[in-house]
Amino acid sequence: MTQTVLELKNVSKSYSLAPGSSKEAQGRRAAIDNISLTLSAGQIYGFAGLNGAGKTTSIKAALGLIRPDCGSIELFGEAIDAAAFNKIGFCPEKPVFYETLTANEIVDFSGKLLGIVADDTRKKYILERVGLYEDRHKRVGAFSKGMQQRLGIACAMLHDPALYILDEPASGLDPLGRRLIKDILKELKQAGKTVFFSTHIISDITEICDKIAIIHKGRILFEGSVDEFCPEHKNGEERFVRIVQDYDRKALSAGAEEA
Amino acid sequence: MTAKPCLLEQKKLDMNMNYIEARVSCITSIAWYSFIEALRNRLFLGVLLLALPFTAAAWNIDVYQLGFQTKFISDAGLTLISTLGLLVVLFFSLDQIIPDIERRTIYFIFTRVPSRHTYMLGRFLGIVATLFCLHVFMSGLLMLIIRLRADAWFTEIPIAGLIIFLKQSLLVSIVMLLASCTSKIITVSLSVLIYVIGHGLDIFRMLAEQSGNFVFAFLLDLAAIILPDFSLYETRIMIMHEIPAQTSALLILAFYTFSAIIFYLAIGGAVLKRRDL
Repeated sequence: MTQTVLELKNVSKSYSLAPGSSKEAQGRRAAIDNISLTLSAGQIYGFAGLNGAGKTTSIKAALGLIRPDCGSIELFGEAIDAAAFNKIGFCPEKPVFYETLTANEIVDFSGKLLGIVADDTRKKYILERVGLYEDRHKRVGAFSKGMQQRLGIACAMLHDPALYILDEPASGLDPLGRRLIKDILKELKQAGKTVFFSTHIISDITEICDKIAIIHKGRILFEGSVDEFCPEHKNGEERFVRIVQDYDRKALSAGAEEA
Repeated sequence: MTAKPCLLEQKKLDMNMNYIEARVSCITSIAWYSFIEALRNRLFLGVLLLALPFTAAAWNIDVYQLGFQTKFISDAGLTLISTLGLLVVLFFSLDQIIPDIERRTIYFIFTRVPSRHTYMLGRFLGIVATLFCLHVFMSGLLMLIIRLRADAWFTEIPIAGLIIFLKQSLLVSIVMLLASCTSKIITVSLSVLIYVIGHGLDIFRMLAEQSGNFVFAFLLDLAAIILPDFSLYETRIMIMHEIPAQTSALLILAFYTFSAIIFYLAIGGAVLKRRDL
């Protein structure tokens, strides 16, 4: 039986609306609404959605960075705690680092925070893998967005975790950078790692993922294998747009009926 | 594209550190990199450069003799150290938690550290280390000037420097507590307010009693419990009257400072723990 690595059950999170908002009377807006996801070991799981759909909120909830209003989250079959971070490699969307530190120091810092001692061979390997070895003594403040993104991936890989959670890993990258990230993800899969990543680029998902979930306005509209989502891995974008538009149309007509 | 399973071929990392070692490693690494960050910050260099004209002025005073002039230079020097220390406290303490949250660098830390208290303590120690360097450098310079110009060691200076350092460490913990739950502008305003009130609590309480305003007196009594008493860290009388500091008094002051720091950092950590990021 395949091991469940990450499981979100009926997780909701809402935020107070800013004063002056047209929906102020309603008080709160659900960022994610009753979402459930299951991620099995060895899978590459693509989490797709438009901007503001709730992808980052779901990831933050999975990592314990925000407290959900309700629902449960399990990592490796247990509630998330500090020990779980040794099994997770996380790279946030557009990662930002301490500008006065060098790439080498950031990698060292990342290891020390996890309580591990990474030797030079390991550091060299991961920095070479993301194409930053030559720039390892440069301060991060001088890095481009893409270089910071790649450094974020390097930090996530440092301790060789079992699960990778990557929030829009390809954002801000040029085509070569995107290709590099996709290659790394494929390598991770070959090495038996589990990868959960969010994106709004559907072709990335159909190219490398085993499973896909579509989140829209805080709700999961689809969860299943990529083969189910788009047979022969073609026309994924059209299928995505159709799912999202169908939902919007239904929500609109339901709203009109209620009114 | 090479599809070799390179990650598996890598040397496995030493994951055998126990829990306490891991936590200590976290705290020291956060403190160390905070310290490095502060030293590389141009603002720190600016603060040190500010001391140059004052050092030159102290060096060039005409009449140097053991007596009023030396005491005056010591007092002025300590006031300068205190002011520069305050700049470091305000600029660098503020430059920790709030920018980390705003720029989302905090995700880098919070997805790796065992607890948010660890982060608070690490950051605190980083700033305190920076402050310590500043105090050692400036106090050393002051002692050296007096030694060369007046041909005497003024031993009250390191003691007074230590007292100022304790006071400012306490202020760092307060700034960090406020930064964990409010915005930058509120943190600055409240820190300054607490600093001012903390220096004159006894005077304010006496004035309130004399005026017969019970509400004001009650509020000040309450403030005396919650807020630190910065008047305990007075050094001017000690310097001007050459009163030697008693070891027991210093130990009590250090104990009071450490207890207060732990209290404020614990609250700050708890606030941060409850915060959605």
